[in-house]
Amino acid sequence: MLLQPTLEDARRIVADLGRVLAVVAAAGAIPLAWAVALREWGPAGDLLLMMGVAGLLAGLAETLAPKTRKPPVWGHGLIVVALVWLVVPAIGAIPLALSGHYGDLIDAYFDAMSGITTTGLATIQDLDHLAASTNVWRHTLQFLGGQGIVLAALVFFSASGALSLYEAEARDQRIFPSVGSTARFIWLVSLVHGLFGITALTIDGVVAQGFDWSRSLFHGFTIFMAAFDTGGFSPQSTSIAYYHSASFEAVVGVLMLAGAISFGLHHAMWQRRANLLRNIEVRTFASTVVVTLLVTLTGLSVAGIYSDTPSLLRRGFFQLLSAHTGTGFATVSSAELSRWSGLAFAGVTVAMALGGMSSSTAGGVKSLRIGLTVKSVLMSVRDALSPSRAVISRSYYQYGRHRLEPELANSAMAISLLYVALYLLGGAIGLAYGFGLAESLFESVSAAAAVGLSVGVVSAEMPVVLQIVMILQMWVGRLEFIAVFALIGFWVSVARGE
Amino acid sequence: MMKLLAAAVVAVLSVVPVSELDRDPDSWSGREVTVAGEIIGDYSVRGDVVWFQLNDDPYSAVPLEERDGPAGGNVGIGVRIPRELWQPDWGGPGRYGVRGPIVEVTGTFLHNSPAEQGETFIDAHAASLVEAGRPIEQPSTSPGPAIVGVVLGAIGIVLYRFGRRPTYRRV
Repeated sequence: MLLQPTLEDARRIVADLGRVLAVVAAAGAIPLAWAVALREWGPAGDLLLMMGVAGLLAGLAETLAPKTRKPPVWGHGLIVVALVWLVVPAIGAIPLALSGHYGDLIDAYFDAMSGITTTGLATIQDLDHLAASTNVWRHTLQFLGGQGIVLAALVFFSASGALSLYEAEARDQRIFPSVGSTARFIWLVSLVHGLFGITALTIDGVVAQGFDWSRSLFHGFTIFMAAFDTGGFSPQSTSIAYYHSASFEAVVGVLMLAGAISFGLHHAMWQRRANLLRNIEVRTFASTVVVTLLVTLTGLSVAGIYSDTPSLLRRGFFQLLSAHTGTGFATVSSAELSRWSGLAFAGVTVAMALGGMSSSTAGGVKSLRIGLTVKSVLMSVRDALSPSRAVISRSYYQYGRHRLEPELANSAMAISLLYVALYLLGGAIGLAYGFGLAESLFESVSAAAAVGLSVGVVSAEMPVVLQIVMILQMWVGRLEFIAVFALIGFWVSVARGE
Repeated sequence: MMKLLAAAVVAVLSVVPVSELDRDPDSWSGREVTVAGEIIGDYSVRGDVVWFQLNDDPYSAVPLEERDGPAGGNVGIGVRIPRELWQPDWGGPGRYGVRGPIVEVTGTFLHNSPAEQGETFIDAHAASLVEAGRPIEQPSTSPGPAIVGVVLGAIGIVLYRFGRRPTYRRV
């Protein structure tokens, strides 16, 4: 039986939602400063409107906050997070919808959801003439989403049920005992990478590509946010192919990889106690990258897409890394990617489905779950083949040795299967609309695993129902199911009145 | 006169749309093509050559701001030209508020070129300006959204300041 939520519960949920909206309003200052500097007065007004709406809702929510200090129940955090990730894209879509670059409101909401979930699929039209400040806002949405929008609120507010909020946002590693300290560490890691990434990309823009300083800074700033937060939005319609630069791709590659690494591993590496070779997540991630890369390169080679090895390695490796880290940057066009048939196409699709590490900015099934599932299956096989008296060690290493409990293995397997079901569901709906099996599945995986690579299904002309399905896939995939189930349970219990 | 007209017709007919190059790149690869469109984004000046993005989408003909609504995504291709062909007086590339110069470039279409580690682009040896870049008149930038936003934000701050803020213990 589900617990009937009280008015007090609803008030607490609304209050926490309001605090996140206050952060969204404050984040609008970044693109607003850009708009003022470039005298983009129209987009500046649109941004101010968005900030005002978010600020008003935050204020209203605060007036509803409960007086009680009763500790919140666990599900409270899950419901707040599920709602946050539906409401923030609606607010964030305001400047996009007013920009005139979208066919309708659903397109704008789709892109805002794609941004906040760090997916990177886009239905924007004439991106190449979009105002720089609106572009910065799209990338700021990705940065907030990658960091965890609720996590951002935790840095500034001592929110109720901080632990449940933190874990509900698909983060299961606390680096420090305090959630607030963990949140601040995660932001510190991002700022350090930001300093390195923006500087490196800006210098590359000036020195290697001959851009002027201000444009290099614009490209460096936006690409950093999309790369480190494994988002994949780009300020130009041709993504990373726009730059025609191996050195730029190399810096972006490092940032994508850094974004796909768990923040726990960042901390362990800073402390020089990572023990990379034993860590189950590192081993799994490295193994799946190598295997999918070999499959992709073999496929490209067999299909004769590239006639020489340097081209094969540069295009194949970047695309694969972009897929596996869940970033979605492209150095080849959608039309070209759709010609990567057979093994190469399969390699990239599987890499997207697997995703990065847990507690990182990447999406997908995640390496830890894959590692635990494989280890559990192997142990069961070993168990079955060993003498009945044999003692099989059931443990794994991740910042120390842990016992692999059956509940943990089952949970990892269950979530993995849910992802597979989500991928297949989107693929089936794409098929129903007349798209091919391979392309339907590719786009479905790209949306649900928050990747953003496309072979052309996602566009302003795509069917509305398929668009709504992909919005839901991005939302469910980013929150890793549990928070969404909690929200559904909440509404069911409200409806039943019991 | 007829000869000039015929030459103009031939010139127009020989311009290849980028979508056609995209559709069947293998059959076009290595062939000389002429592409016309709007230079957008940036000029990437690298030693003896200049790279730019050339879009031949609907917005290169009529900018978004001068249309009834958006007309699909951008379509374009990277172009590399010798630096001596690039004329700074073409004007700045197309961006927000700027319709970039419309140029016609002729050169070799290279698909997944080994010489450039798999790049697909046009290695141009001729370029001519069709229409210089120009500012795009923005639709009237009404202060309405900004004023509404500031008022709503001010109300929000007042409500936040005097709201019933609960005290939670730190976790």
